[in-house]
Amino acid sequence: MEVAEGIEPKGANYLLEVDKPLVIPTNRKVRFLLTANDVIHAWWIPQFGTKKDAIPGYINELWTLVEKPGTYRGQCAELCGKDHGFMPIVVEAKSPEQFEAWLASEKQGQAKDTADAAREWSKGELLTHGEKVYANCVACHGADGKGMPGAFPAITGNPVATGPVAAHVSVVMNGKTGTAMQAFKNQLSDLDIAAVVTYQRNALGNNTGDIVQPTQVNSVR
Amino acid sequence: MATADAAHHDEHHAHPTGILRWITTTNHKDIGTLYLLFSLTMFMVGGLMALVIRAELFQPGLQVVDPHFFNQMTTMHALVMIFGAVMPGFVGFANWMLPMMIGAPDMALPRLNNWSFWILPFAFTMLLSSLLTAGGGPASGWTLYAPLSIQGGMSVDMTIFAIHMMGVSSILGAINVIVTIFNMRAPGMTLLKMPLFVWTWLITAFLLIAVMPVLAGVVTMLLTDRHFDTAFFNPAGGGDPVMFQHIFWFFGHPEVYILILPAFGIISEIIPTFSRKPLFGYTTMVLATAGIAFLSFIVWAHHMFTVGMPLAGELFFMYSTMLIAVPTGVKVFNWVSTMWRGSLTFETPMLFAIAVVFLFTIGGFSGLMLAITPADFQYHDTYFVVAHFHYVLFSGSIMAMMGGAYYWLPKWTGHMYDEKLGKTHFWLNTIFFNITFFPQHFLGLAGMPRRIPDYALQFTEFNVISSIGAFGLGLSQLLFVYVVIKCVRGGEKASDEVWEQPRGLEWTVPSPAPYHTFETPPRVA
Repeated sequence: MEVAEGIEPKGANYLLEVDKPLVIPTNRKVRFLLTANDVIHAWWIPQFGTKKDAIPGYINELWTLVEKPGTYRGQCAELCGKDHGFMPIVVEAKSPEQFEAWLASEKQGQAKDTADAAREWSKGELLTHGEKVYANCVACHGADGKGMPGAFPAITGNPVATGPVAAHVSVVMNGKTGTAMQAFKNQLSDLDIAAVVTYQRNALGNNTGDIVQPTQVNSVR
Repeated sequence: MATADAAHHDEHHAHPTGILRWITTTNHKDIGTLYLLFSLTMFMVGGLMALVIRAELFQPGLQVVDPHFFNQMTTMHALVMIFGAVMPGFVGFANWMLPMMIGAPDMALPRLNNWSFWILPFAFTMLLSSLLTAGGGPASGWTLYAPLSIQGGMSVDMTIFAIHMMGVSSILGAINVIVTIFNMRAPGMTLLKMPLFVWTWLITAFLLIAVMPVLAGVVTMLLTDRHFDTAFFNPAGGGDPVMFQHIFWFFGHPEVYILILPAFGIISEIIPTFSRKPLFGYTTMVLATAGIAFLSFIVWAHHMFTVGMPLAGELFFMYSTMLIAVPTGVKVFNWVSTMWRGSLTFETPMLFAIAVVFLFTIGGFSGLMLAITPADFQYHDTYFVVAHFHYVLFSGSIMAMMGGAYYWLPKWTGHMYDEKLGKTHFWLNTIFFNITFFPQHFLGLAGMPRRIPDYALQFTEFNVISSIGAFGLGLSQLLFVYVVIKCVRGGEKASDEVWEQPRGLEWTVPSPAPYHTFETPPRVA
């Protein structure tokens, strides 16, 4: 937001950076399947010369053939709400060899993630990771867990964060209807949820001593 | 004898004065004035919203407003300009001019006429006050696409009801126009002797009656989806978000011709007068207008090429859309041919008319580019589209109305407007218009999407130029307001004919046109 507000200097790819680009191989037809689960968006990379809407309830298809390896940038092209201007799309086109190499390393990474999700985590590890994941909660509940009186409840001493573990996990995963608390189950991994719940129960002034394992989260998905 | 009786009778009417005169009036000239003033007011309100948009886009980053308010501004700017400025503006011209052009004493349904105007201020009070509700005004674009509009706050409901009221107003106005034209023409004024402005309005009125109910229907479906658990547009309930777009654009495309056909009519009145020649190809002009109106019903899905239609559908809508270039081309060539070897002079109305022919044609060509399906995949929802529809709507509809205002102001007020200031307004307006909107073509082609409050750095230069142009364009309209006020308050006395041997019955009555004209119908040879 600091960048958007014009306080920080803007980089060359201002508004067109993503944390995880889509990787495709060059010289091969690539078919995209598009859908949406909230409102209509549109997937557009200007250099590909085509765009298509992503519509709830529809699966639209689009194809491209990229010849030059490189980074291709685009944006959502259908008005989708207040953050419409902040929906960048980045595609990395890699030569077939590099693509295979990337694929192999991704598979390795995923195998590690699967292993991580399956193993037992120590309390220390969960707290370290949970502190990072808690960044998702800071905007409302505050870095110190005190919330914003009248608007957003505190985590510190909260009956949910100090009561039964299952209820706490459920609120984080499914949100709370009628409030601003959103569902995080599609956004955070089992490990992330386990870590952040453990963190909330053992830090920010709480001290229940409970430990939540990724496998526990997975069992209620 | 009959004339004298009627005039004598008239003097005994007690006309309310002051504000009550305007509230209770059934006089077509009064109501025309109300419509035109309302249109001018909304033009200024919508213009201010455009300036908020352009101020935010002057530089990358969020400096002036937040993204949600930005979306409210883009939505409201369009709704106010389309339903508040352009449509009522044309109805104002229709009210003033139709009876005088066909030799009728008034509109056929004067009380309905009063009502159709007075619905509007209430509709727009409701629409504009939705900006003050919790969560702000409607922010889903004027197209109100579901499911985004289903998620909006109560401002969307207020917008829906405002649209219903505007629709009622438009339909009543359209009925009045049709009944007037079919029943009130002076003896001898056959259909094919009617001035082209009358013809374009007749056809526009049929379009209005055909499509305003469709808009009312689709926003009502939106309303029931929002509050009564229907699922017309909700896929989770078996509905279809794309159906909204089909129904909306079945209204929306004829709507854009509703916004331009009366402008064609005004241009077709101005150009012959200042070319000192009759309109070239009168009958083909009428047929072209009817052809455009017919085609407008079978092109709607060219607004939605990227939703994923079957190939056959994309081809059909591509070719039917391109067909529109034929009747529109006929019109452009007829205007040019009217000027050909004419004895041209370039008073302000003529300057506007020529600019409209030239600039609207640019908008027409960019429209043709957008009609090409595979090319539209690239242009759709970019600033290229924004440039396109401002070239047809601003330098088509709005500038035609400005030209029409200069053309008929002497007849309305009895005074000549200030020619020097009028020309200054024309040049400022036209130059700043092009500075504002021509660079937007380049922005779209370079990849800038529509309706974004902030943009990547490669778009900066053209946005700066466009924003500077927009502020110039906005300020130059203050000059227009000044010229109009000056002309109403005084100035050189206008003759009955005003211009050099203009055609049309309106120039046979005194300037200013008396409160009641043609109480005895003229005989048209």
